[in-house]
Amino acid sequence: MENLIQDLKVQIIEQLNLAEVKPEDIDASAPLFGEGLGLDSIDALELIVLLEKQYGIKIKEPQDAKNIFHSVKTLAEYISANKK
Amino acid sequence: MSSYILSHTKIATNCLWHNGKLISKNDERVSSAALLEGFYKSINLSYPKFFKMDALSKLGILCAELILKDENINDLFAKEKTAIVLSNKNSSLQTDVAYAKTMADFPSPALFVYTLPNIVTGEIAIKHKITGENAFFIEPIFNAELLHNYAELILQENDAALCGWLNIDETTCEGFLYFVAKQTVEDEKKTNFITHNSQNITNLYIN
Repeated sequence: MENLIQDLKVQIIEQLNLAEVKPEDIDASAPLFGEGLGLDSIDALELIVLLEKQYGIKIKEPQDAKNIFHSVKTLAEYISANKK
Repeated sequence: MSSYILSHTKIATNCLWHNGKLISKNDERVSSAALLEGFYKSINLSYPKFFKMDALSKLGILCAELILKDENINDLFAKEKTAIVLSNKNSSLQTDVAYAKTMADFPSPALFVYTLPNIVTGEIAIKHKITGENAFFIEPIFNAELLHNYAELILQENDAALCGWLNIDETTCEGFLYFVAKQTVEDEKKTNFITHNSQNITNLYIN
């Protein structure tokens, strides 16, 4: 799980062009949206693309997205449970 | 009532100029994106969203930043009475092509939102809280007369306008913005302002 969290931090920085953020700056438990990294709705779409492109996972129930993308940790847990 | 140019910024031939003064220069041959990120660092701008933008918006944000922060010029005029009038030749072609390439695999939402040239006007407006009207014209070459005439029209109902030319592709990076405002009686005592006319706009763009 720790390795996946580290990989996700690097992938999120690259996918979202967070050029001034380093992996160690990201608190795995901090909210990704609103506070923390302050991501927006376009970033949410990019995270959905990342999930599908890197891990082959499609979110079946849109209402689950809020909990899945709450933090890097919740995203890693979802990937671990659903990775093909 | 006449109008005058308070401030102007230019990016051309790998140089960044503000009011005729060289601010930064890059002697290496780099891409437009790398050039603009170098200028971002050179003016100590701290705006993380900058890195998410396409190159056209980066160009606009950099040029606007120097002008609007110049002696807090942006705070001298009502935000709802400040307009943005921009133009270029290449529209958003560079981003359009980049987005089209992603369509074969996973279309990029982050690129898609920049597939219109006037997105840069929105980015400038958001950063500086400008809420006046805006326009973006596609012209084959820099057209000082168009900018002058449209700005003057807008100034009949508004106080100020940020105008100019932002043209970019992989190897061309050319930005020229100026801030024009109505001249008040008090301002007429000041002699260092540039009268807003096509000839002066052309001179600032060329020199």
